[in-house]
Amino acid sequence: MRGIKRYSLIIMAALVVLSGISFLSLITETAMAAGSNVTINDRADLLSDEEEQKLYRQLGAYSSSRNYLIVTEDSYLYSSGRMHDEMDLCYHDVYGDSDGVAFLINMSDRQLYTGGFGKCRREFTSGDARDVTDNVYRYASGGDYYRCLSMAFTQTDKVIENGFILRPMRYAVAVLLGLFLGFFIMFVVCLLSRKNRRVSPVIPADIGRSEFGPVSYNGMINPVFLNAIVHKSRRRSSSSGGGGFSGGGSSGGGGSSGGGHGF
Amino acid sequence: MAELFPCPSCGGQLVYDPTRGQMKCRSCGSFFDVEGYKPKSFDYTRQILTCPSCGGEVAAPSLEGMEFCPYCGTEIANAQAFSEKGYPELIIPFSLSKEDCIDRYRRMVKGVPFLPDELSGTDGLSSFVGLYTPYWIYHYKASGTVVAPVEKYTSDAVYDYHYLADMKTDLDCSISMGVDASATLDDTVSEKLDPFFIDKLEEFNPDYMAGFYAENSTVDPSVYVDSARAKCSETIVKKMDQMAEENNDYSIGDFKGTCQRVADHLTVEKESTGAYLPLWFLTTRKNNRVAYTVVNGQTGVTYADLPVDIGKYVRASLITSFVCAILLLLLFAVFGTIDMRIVPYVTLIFSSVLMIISAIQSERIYRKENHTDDAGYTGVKKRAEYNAGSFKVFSGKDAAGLVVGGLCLIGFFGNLFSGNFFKLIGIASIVVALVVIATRTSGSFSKTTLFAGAGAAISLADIFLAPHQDIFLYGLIIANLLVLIIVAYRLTADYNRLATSPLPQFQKTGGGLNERY
Repeated sequence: MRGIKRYSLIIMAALVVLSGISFLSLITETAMAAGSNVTINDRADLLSDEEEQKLYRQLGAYSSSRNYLIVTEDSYLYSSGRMHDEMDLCYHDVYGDSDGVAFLINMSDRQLYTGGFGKCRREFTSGDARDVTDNVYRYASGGDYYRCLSMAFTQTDKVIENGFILRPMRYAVAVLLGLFLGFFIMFVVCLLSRKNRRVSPVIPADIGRSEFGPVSYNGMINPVFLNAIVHKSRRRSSSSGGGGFSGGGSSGGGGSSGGGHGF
Repeated sequence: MAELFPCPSCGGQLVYDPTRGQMKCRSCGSFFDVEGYKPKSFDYTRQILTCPSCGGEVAAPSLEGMEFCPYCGTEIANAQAFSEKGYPELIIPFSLSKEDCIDRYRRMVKGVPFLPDELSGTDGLSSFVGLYTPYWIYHYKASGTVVAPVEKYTSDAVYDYHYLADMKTDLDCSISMGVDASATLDDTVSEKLDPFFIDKLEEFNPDYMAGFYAENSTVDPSVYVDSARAKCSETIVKKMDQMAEENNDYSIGDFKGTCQRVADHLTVEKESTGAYLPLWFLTTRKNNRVAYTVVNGQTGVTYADLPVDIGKYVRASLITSFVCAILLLLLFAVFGTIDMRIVPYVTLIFSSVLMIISAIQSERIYRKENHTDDAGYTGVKKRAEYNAGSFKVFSGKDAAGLVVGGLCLIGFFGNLFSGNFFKLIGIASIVVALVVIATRTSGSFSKTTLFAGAGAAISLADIFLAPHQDIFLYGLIIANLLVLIIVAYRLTADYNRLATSPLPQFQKTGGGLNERY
């Protein structure tokens, strides 16, 4: 019996250990799933721990097939000082060439920048990126960086999932530009339709074409040609070029869409 | 008029019928040959009507039925005086009836949008008035020998050939040239009514006046002597050019120089003679502006001021705007990559284009309203001074414009030039606009040009300042577009100013009235 009891305890302990390991492994696996496609690198210390956790949860709830990167900086990472390069550098350091979206807040020149990588580059275009930063920059201006990032990724996700986001300035510009074009086009139509309007004259039957105009002739004009000379020069040859070739192109990997906004 | 041109059959009133070239009775419809009909007691006096509004003078054997002044469109009553002065020696009778004239006008304006109702409706067009307009006929004799360089180009498979020769021409001809002698009809308009076939001039016959009117004021014949001489020599050289082409496929090599050489061989054959040439006149008036429609009563060549009905224009513009806005919204939706920050460059391009159009239009308005190309208006020899091809004004203001343009260019290249297409076009357009303004401005900048300049300045502010705050970035874009809408509207209003004339004031300017007739 003791042997059985001992074996039972060993088995139970093993089961407990296995269950614990399974449980722990399960917990660890979830944390990695969330953590593997969401990275927050708050170097400028703009977010509290609680805000970071909320962003982890928000971004973790989005598609796991995309990576999400948030970087805040208070100095330039990249010598060029270009936001686009900064963001590329940060993203490729973390996620390489995989699909995803990055959002960069640089406090040294108070710029927001966001963009897509991989497949997301096509789904989240530079124009979309600019519209998103247009829509959220005022939260950053007010110091509410969490809300700025949260709103930005909410809108980004909508755009990528073919959803609808408001682009009020774009609409206002389109309407006013359309209004101007309407007036301008009609003005051009007025000008062109009135240009050089002329009806041909009715020519009296006994008037020759050479007598056009408020002129009448009576007399002779007799020309004689003198001193005729000719200059001869070889024609400039014009040759058509031979066949060309079309080079094989390569579609570059990497690259990103992007757009930004000061705040 | 019935007393002057009574019908031999019924005693009714005869008028000249251009389509048949006969006198027609308005009562019984009988026709009579002009040659055979003699008006009753035609003593070569005429009634003169002076318009109380513009001072223009209309003359006729009888002014019965004259309801509107043909120069300013004012309704006129009995402001009449009588003149003992006679008529010119020559006349080209009307060949086109009022119906023909309306038909030709309609053909001309077919498809022209936004015409005012009075210029497109039947009622308005019935107000055409047949008006004999005074012309001077200058008679020159060309004699002597002129040598002109001629040339032609040919080629074969291997060589290009450039043939040069001298064309020796013995001139022995008489040439007569008709020039508008009217003090009221703008020279630029009368030139557009050519050709008149002055071979068809006849001895003045009062029968041709029956049912028509005549302009009473003329300029002194000395005003157009140089112009007529230049036109005669040009006509002869064109004839020489035609002969050169017919003979050896040559063309005159030095047209201007040949004209000058021919002019040296022209002598006045006889004193200039006055003539009445037929024009159909329609004058419409709106807000102290008049629009002229003039049809050559011999050949039907038509000149028409074609102002824009602003109400129709605005309605059509709003519809077009709606369509454009929808298309732009679709474009922005489909091509989401369009960067709104490019808009200031686009507005800069439009501002520059509008500045150029406005500057050119302003110069034309200035020239038209100051009659710089109309020697007949003031009776002085302005033609040489204001030659259309050489009239340029440069001033300190213009030079300042060039400097500003240069600075803009340097600024752009120094800071913003990055190979972007719109940026490049934007830079080029503003520089071109400033240069055009500098070279084309005649009197002063028009308000429309200044508005367009303000639009360009807003665009530049948006580009240079590149504000981070949307309220400023887009605020400037929106302000800019509003300014451009105003400019586009104002350009149309300015076009109306160009397409119409101010109410004429012939009494104030004098008009070189001459009483030689």
